[in-house]
Amino acid sequence: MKRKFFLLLPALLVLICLLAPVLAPWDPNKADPTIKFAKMSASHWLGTDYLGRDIFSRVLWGGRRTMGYAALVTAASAVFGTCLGMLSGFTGGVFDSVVMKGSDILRSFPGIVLVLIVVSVRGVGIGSVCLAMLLVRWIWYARMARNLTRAEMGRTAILASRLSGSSWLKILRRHIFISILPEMLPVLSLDFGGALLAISGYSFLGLGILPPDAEWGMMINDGRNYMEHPGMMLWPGLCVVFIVISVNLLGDRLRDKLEVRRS
Amino acid sequence: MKRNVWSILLIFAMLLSLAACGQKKTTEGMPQETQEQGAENQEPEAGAPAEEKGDTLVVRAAKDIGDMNPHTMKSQMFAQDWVYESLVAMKNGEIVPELAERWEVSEDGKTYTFHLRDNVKFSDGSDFNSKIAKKNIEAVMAHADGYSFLQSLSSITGVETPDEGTLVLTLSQPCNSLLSDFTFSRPLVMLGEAGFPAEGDPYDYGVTEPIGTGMWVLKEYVADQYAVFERNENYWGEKPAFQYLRAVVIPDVNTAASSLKAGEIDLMMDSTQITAELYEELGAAGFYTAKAPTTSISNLNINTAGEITGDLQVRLAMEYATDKQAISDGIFNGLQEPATAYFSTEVPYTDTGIEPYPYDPEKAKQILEESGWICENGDTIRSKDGKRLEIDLIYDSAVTKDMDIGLILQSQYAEVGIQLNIVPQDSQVYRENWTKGDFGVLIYSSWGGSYEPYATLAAMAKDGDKFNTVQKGMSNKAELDRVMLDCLSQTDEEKLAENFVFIMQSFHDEAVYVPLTVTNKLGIMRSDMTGMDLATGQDSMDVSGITWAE
Amino acid sequence: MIRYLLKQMLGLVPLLFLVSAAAFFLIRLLPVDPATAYLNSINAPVTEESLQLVKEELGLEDPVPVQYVKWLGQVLQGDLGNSYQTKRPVTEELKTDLKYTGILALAALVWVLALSTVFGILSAERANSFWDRLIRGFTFVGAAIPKFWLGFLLVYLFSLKWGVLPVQGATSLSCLVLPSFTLACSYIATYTKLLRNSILEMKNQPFVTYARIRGFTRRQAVWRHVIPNALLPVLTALGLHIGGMLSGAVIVENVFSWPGLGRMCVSAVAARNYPMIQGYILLMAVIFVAANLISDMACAALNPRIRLGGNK
Repeated sequence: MKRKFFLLLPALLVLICLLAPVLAPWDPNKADPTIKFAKMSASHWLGTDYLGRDIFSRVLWGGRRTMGYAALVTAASAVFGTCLGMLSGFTGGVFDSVVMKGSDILRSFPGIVLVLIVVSVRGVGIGSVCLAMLLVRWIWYARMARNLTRAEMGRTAILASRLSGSSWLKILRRHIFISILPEMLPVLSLDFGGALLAISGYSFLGLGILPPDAEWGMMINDGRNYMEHPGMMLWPGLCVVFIVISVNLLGDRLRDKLEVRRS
Repeated sequence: MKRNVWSILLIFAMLLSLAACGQKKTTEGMPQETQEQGAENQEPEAGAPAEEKGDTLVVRAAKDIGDMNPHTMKSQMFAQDWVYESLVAMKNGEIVPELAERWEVSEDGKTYTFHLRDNVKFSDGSDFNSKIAKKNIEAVMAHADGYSFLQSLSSITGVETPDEGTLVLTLSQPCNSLLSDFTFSRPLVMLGEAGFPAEGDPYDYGVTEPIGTGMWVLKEYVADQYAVFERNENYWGEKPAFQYLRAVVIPDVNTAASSLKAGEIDLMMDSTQITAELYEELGAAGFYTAKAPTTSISNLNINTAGEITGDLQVRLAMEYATDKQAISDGIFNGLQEPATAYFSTEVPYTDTGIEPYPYDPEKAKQILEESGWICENGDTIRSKDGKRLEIDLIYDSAVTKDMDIGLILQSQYAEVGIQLNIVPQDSQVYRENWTKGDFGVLIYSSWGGSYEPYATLAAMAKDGDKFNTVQKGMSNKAELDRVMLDCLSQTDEEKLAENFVFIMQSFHDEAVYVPLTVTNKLGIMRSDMTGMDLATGQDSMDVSGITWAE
Repeated sequence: MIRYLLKQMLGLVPLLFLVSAAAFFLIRLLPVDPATAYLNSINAPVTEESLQLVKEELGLEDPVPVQYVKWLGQVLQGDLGNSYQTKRPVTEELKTDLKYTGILALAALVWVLALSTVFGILSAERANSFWDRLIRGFTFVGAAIPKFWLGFLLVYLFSLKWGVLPVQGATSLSCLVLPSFTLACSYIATYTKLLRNSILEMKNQPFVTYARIRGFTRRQAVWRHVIPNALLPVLTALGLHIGGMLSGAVIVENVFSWPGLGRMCVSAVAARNYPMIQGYILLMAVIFVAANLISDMACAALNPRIRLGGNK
């Protein structure tokens, strides 16, 4: 029960961030310098920042953006990587070895270098950062999907399906995808945490989401100028830590469950 | 698993309580607390005799000082000021003697005679005389293309040295900016003979050694970290009290403030980075703080050729709708005073006494109403002919201060029915759009210092310059350009004053600029030192008078 | 062994080629032409004449493939051009910056190896004790905490509140403590977890039981057999994490004003200093390739199965 509670809490945070346009009590960009650095109060739950903007509203809107883009990058790289991996595992041969060699090389290539290349060409902005992240993040999915597919290929059900003349697309969809999906879920969860950290990090460096729009990493960067008012830095930071811990825990739990099922 | 969760909760709680401590500190009587903290931090300093009353002054440099070439723009001006000197200098907007004790200008404005100071020696012991001055000026003239901001270079036709102590410049046409051109930190400053490279000019080949006549001599330099200067024992004027001057590179201003608190640096001076909050916080913590207005004005530039801002009535409404005091109070805690015109009142000729537009939102609404911009269908934003009154404020995404001001303007303009969209742009794109005129409004500070007024006027009158783009849509732009160019060489004082009245009146009537605030130079120093002087230009750092307090 | 090494090296050549091409085409892919970009970044006026001059200076008049070959030739000789801002050779600028990033990364590595071994062994040996739980809690929080946030938290506590460590600088060893720990933190968490799991797994392996039967005490069995074997995956993972560490260093250097590659590079991007960006990209690629090779070799030396080709 307590465990559920610990997963329920982040789910709640995600939900209220998603509903920021409805729930946020203030316009996140509405500046009112007469009330800057306000303390926590009934009207400004977490106080206000250096321009008198409501921190609570900004945390909600920021979460919506940070988590939204992290989800986008994770989903896109998962779909692309999984498809490529399954294809590669299914067809084998030259295609397989090219994909695997490529992913082998890029596997741990410093992400920042790609971000810098894309940003230098396209200019700073969240689009550039997402694109650059996508370029490396599909690899893990591709490798996993490929190895799982290879393992699945030997199963009798698939052999039977092949013999009965099912199209390859159908086999991939009906049999392989269904059976490797549970294996991919923990990775997805862990990867989401990583993507969230990366996006907020790039925004912190001023390469990702641009002000005045709120974003957790950028809010922390704003706060560095006003260390005497730690609230500005504290809340978005706690949110990042909280969400990342939660998805990591979720990933671990999914993996544990998977192992139990397997044995 | 369950225990795992609990231990995480435990750590989380620890983090929260840590943060809560921090939070509490600020809510309960912050000033006293920080004061105590400041005192605590300084105590170990006092206990360390080696540090205390030492002979090294440690200052913060926002950037690496550079290669110390006096004829190029790749070094920091404050460091060039420490090492090199010119014939004249600028202080409080006025031209004062430096290496030239006095000077005369002929009636027709075409001959400048400088009488050089006697017994001035370079830091290597060699003499400063008219010959070396000529060599420097000619080396700069040979690369006139590299200094578009110097109007005088193209006019100088001859440099003569009748004797060791006299230098005569002859000009093809009068040039009002000649003296102020000599007050720039570079390139018209004096490098010692031994500093010239064998291959050619310093502009192309760098310097063999940074030898100047200034107060300080570069002694040690570690790129991107620090530079140590030693007192120039040959200096002609009053020598500084400190034997050594150490400039430590700390790009981030908050890190610099922390270093100041920790006693790692003695002082910082800056006109762009120090925030009002830092200034007040350190002042409350017992540090010596001082401020002085510079001649640089932060202006809202309205694109007179823009789609919506091309409408003079819209521009006028924006003038009336801008509450400068709110910006001054809100962002700068009142440290930066509201501005009255594009140029600072200190800039010669430009203080023409034209009354700036007052803050009057009702008047702004009335102007818009009368010119056909009305609120329709319950929209709080006005529109005319199906066009909404939306204006883009573009800013360089690396300079968030513009955005801060923009957000405040956004809420002020919303009051009168103008929607201001804040559009961050990549530096490169920003500069391009500005030059192309692809924007509604933007915020830019006038150059100030030695640039005003002549270098600015030249840029404004030059087709293709970003300063020109903003004015493209003015009804009298052609006439204005002619007058601005005339200012550069007009020798008749009366005529010159008339020209400036015309220029300032045009800026005002056409509502091209909304002057926002007067930029400040702020200085913060440890409390046991005195003698900080902020009168020199916004980019220099005059530390000559600083000593330990008695 | 040498054949294995050569094979690995050959595999990395395409990467180097790709990166060099990316670095080269960086300037050519810009929405504005490179000569204008250059003039803008040094704040010079853009005129017909100055454009022509810059085009000659940067060698932009040759056809693109010729430019690439020329450029590659220069790069191989160690000439990456001059920084737009300082006009000094890029190689020289990179050299000093690299030294500082190297020191930072090494110090972080020391933290990682020291703390994760201690934590991992402690946690596995005393499984489910108070310490174990605390360490496992740390592994979760440590992996989730953003580096920039942790950095500020540490500065706030250690420098501003308690005044025990300097805020910034790179002049003494004490300056190194906070940045390197900040960089190391998430890796300490990861490796502690890895080590704990792998020790616990090893303990049930038959060879441990066999060692006990042979008369070793439990402790001896663990120290002689379990831990050395458990460290192997940690070493392998370290090689893989070099890339991540270099990325992380960018953030840490910016937080602590550490004069390393990362800080240089972010300011180069802001100033559109393309030669520096090119230099950074190439250098990163080379470091990355070298680190991967070293880690491959270390693993091969430790585990003969790999170098005999059984890693598929």
